[in-house]
Amino acid sequence: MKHYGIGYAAWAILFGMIISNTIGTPTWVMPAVQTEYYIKTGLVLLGAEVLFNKILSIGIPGIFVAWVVTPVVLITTYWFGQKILKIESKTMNMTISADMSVCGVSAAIATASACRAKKEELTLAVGLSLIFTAIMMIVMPAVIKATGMPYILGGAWMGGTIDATGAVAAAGAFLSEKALYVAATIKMIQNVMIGLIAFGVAIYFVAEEEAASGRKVGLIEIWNRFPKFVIGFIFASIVFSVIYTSIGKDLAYVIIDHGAIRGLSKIGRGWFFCLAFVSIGLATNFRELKGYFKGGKPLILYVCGQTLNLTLTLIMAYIMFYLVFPEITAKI
Amino acid sequence: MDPNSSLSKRISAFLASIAGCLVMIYVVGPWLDTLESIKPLADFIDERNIDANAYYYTEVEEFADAELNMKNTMQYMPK
Repeated sequence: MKHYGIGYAAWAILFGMIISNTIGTPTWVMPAVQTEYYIKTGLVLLGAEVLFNKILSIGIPGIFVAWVVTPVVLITTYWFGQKILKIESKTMNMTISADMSVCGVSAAIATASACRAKKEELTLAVGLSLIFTAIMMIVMPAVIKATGMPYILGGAWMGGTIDATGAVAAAGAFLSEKALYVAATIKMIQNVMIGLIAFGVAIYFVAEEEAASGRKVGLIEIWNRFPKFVIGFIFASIVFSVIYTSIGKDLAYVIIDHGAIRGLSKIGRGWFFCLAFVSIGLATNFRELKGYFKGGKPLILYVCGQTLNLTLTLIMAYIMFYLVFPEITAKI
Repeated sequence: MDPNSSLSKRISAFLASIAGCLVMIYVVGPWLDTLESIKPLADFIDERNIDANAYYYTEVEEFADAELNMKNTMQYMPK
């Protein structure tokens, strides 16, 4: 199953749901089912892996493909969900939009927490992402080869559209080394965007709540409602980014990239997210989950959003890599 | 499942679900890997030992190599 990008999140939710919907979650386990705590702790640890200097790895083409197309697709898909599909739950709409446009499961977790989405909405977003990741990682390399698309363009296209990071590596490497380098770098730049997306979504939803209440409230009230873990997330990101740039790139590569991050925070973060997804599964009822899928609107939202993502990413990648910066492309 | 249903029914449902998962993992998955459209990618992932399940770039070694390669390309590009 590892060939299809179905990782620990899916299995954790699945086994949790099997237990809760068959033999029932034992009462003695319930005190340990602390989804919010595990997710927020995991997200603060993830913040340490969000290094802002990574966005310059491939220069301006990478920034345009990852940081211009992604917010455009996110906002457009959210608008489409609200105005055209009329999805009732704004938080589900936002979680699916972020998960599809940014980088899959990790973006879904950060966004769902930032907008206080329900656990069933996060489960749905993760499920949709994993299904389409498996399809896209098989279909996209085949389409690229069949159409004779240059592999650098194909790599940028896959990096900006396939949700799961590991699937991007597999599909990119399958095409060629150059495609892998470009795809991986584009996806890494998108990964770094999670922090700002979570922050922006948190601000938007707090402001939305204020507008919906019809009352004008002060900054203190906004601060009280703002999800504090986002502050921890951004703070960890800033601290590690500053340390990374101040100790020199070679030392930073060893101590931060392969030391503190790959040796410590990544492991802790992985376990906290796994516990979070098990907790979600243990507390989820199949019947309640089915209700969120009514009318197929989440699926339609995902498909329409991903179609826009595929189109815009391909156009932007072509413009950046072949029209505006062909000299960078020639040297890759 | 109805929480008021009998214990034996709930245990049967649990075992059936686990059996379903095992069938997916040990029968359906390997069969899908033999399909002409999937086999090349599946074999490639095994040969290169790529973690296709990773959720963040720090979990995949190929990303570290790609970043190093791109940094060198940008830094040492002939003027």
